[in-house]
Amino acid sequence: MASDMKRTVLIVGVCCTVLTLWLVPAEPLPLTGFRSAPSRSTPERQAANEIRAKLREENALLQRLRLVDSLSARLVSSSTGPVFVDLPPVADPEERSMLSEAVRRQVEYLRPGPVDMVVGVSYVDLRFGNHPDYQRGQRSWADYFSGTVDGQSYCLVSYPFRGEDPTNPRSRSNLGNAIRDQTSTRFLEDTGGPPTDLLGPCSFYLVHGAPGVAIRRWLRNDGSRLAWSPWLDGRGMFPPISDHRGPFGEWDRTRYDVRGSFGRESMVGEGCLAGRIDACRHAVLGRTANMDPRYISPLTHPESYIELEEWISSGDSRRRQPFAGRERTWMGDLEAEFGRDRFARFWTSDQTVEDAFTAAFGEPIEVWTMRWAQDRIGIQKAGPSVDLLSVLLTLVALLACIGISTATATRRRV
Amino acid sequence: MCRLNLVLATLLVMPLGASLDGQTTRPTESELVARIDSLSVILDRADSVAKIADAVRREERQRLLGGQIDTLQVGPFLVVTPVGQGSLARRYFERAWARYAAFVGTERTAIEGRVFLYGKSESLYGLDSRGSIRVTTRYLSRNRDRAIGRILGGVIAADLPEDLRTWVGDFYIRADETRELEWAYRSLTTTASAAVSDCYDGVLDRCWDAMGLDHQDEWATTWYSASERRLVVRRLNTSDIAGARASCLDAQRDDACMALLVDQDAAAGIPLPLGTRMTLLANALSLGGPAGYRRMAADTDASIKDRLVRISGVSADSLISSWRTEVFQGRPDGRSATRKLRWSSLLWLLVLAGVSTRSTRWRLT
Amino acid sequence: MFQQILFTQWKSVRSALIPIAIASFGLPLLAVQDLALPKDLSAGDPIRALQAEFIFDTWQLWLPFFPILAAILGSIFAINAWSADHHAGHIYALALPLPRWKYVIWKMGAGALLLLIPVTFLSVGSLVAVASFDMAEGLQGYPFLFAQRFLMASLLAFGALFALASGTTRTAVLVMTVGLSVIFGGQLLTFYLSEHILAFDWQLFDWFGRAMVEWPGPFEVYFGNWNLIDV
Repeated sequence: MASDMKRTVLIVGVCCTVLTLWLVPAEPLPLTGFRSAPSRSTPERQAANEIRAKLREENALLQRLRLVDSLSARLVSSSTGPVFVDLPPVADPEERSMLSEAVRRQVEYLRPGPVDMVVGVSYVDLRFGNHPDYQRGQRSWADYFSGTVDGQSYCLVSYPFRGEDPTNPRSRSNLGNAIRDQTSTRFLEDTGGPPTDLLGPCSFYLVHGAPGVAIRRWLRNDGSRLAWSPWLDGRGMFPPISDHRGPFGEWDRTRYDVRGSFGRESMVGEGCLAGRIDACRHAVLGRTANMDPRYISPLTHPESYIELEEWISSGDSRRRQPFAGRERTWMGDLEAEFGRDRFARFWTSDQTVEDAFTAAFGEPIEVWTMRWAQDRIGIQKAGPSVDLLSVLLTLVALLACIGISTATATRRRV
Repeated sequence: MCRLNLVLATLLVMPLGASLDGQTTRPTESELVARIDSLSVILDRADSVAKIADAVRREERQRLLGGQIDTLQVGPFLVVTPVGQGSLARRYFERAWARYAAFVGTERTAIEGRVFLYGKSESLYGLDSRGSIRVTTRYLSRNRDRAIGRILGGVIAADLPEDLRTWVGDFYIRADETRELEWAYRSLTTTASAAVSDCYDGVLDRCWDAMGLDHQDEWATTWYSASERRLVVRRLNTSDIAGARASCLDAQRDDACMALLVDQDAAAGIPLPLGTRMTLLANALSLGGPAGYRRMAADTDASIKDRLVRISGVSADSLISSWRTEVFQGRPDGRSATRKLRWSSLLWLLVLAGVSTRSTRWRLT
Repeated sequence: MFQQILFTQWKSVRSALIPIAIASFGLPLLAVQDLALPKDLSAGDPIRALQAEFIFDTWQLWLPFFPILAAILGSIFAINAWSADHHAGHIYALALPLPRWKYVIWKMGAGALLLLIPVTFLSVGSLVAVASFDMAEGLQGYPFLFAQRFLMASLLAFGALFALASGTTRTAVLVMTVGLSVIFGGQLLTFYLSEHILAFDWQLFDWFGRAMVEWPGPFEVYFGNWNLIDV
């Protein structure tokens, strides 16, 4: 037996060594997309494309600068109430009334206190503000701005719409549809509950005033994705999720909820759901990898707008956010749990985000985030561990098998 | 080029002072406009340089490829392919074109004079593909016949008026007519639609509804029953209407389903699939001949149903009856598949039995 | 006596053990190919965040292989444990001066001990696989937990097949036939009932499947998280 075993061990050992030498270190990721594929463009064409991309970014920044300058001036000079509705002249009375009514319902529900803040909701042509040499620039999603004009603090939300193109006689404006989509109450499941949300992060400004410096910096540094909705309004609602993974632990592609357009959580989100406290911290305080892995290029370039001090947030791209976009109500849920006063203390604090959170709510931000995430999405077990009950169950099953085998053998007769 | 790189590098590190610690230096509008102005000038120059570099590279590549490609004339179009793949490419394209030529005859089509580049993407790299159609084998399905047929159909479909193109899709004529009709028969028997069921039962008028060519204004009530409307809602991507969708699907309220469907275009709810609709068009063209194709391409005013009738040259009832008869004749024969299965099972049984007799336990010798 | 039983089983399975051990060692290594980060990536490169996406997309394809391998291993060693007895008609075993229950337990123990060999190779392979590439922050390897799950799954398959193989071939065929008949016949019946009785909406297949693989079913260990690399 000994020599037999030695021979077997030798053969297996040699084969495993060969495998190790062949397969270690592991091959790198087969990256696809224009970043990794050998570029067929000439270096001159690549340089021209980089300049074009830079031009696009600069134009997008110019668009936003012009947007905030014109809207804020109009907002501060024309506003008579807490929220000013700013529509272009082409809007018809029915659309104005629809938007105003939706805003009124939201303001009524929010019950803003006596804070020195005006909020504006506007619809602006998505090509507004383009440089004459670059007319192709288009805003795709809402932009949020905040600042002060003549000593008056404001928060602006600007929705884009496609206006009529003077060069194309067949083009039509979609302003009416854009307003209808945004204000529709068909999505609301509970008409007695929160109304349709139009203000996004500006709703927190409306109720609590301007945030503290560190909080505002955090909002601009991707923290605003945690404040995109003060509440759930039926659009993008949380689907009930009972299984985060497939039968063998794989990420289940079919769990993409078309209604809410939620995908799956990112690695950071999964880590938080699995109880990794550092992942929860990163989920709320870190930047998201906001990109489409098919192309390995950023979908948006928020860094471009950082130059613009008034800019807070653009877009609502839910891809690869830690909780797949469900964090849009993080701040709203925080306020709902702890109450308006404590939230106001956090919102207006001059401390860092973590210190402000702990001071206002009595626990670290990552701890609450973990509880919040696990409560809404569920607890995720990371790794292939087998829990104690499963081990005991396996042992019980084995004992049963021994019992059956023993009984069979005992009864055997030749 | 060096100067360009230096300017580019300088521009790309702009803007200065951008940081996330709240101490941004806000640019003014005039600064931004000036930056974009200078970038535009640089971009124009860079584009000119890049065009020259691209042209040089293209010429070089063309020169290298000169002796490495074949150009074949297939019907009214050309196929360019690397040397060595000519016969294979000719076979695929000729077979695919033959099916369309039967309908098109000698009529001029959008495919006339087109150039198809066929081969692996690496071997096609550098060929001047402006105006031509790349058919790279990497992304082609293994069934080359079908894939190339689909591409040709897509090009010919450009001749079709837009509404007809939307209704019929690709103008794809399958290699195997039998399979086409089998699929059409299957869709007649399996599509959950009152109109399709009636068509199957012989109510010829309802076949037009099943094709989505009659009663488009009241399609939801005419083409589907209440339970079928729920299936349509489930199938359609009504993404933002969560409350009504739940009311339709879970509470099974037909008024909620109707509310969701009333805003949907009739084209989205046509019961029979594109392939089956294509069989009707193919049937009309086969009745009408090449003259029918000419009429199809030129006729844009009437409804699709009337156009199909004109293409075929027969009455509406005759056309739909002819199509229905053809589809029923193409009913799949379930037994033919099992016949093959029986023989292959028997063969494998014999092989495995033969292998098992080699076992030391009961070796025959 | 245990040594003799072990030797008997070793003799009959040693040829198969070579490819089994190599497969157990190599499968984790194969599965982590094309998952490493490229060498020249900076710390903040977005591709790091995408590594998890690729890992879960690529690694997932391999996931079902591990429970299948565990089931195959367990079956091979269980059948091997009884093959000599079946061949000789159990006469030699019955003639031994040994209580039969002891004989069964030692036989099972010997089989389980031999089963540890490929499991050990799998755990070594997992360790090497996890160490063979850099993982982005937030990901980690679980080679020992992975091997533990694999061991549980293969022991379960071993025990079940050992019990089945301990009887005669006739018994095994009878058990399987009755079992399958009950399942298929029951499913046909429940399907028929659900078609004709409005309030009846229960399917035997569904219930049986869930009872087997969900807690507290016996095969629950086969279905769960088999990710060697996870958050």
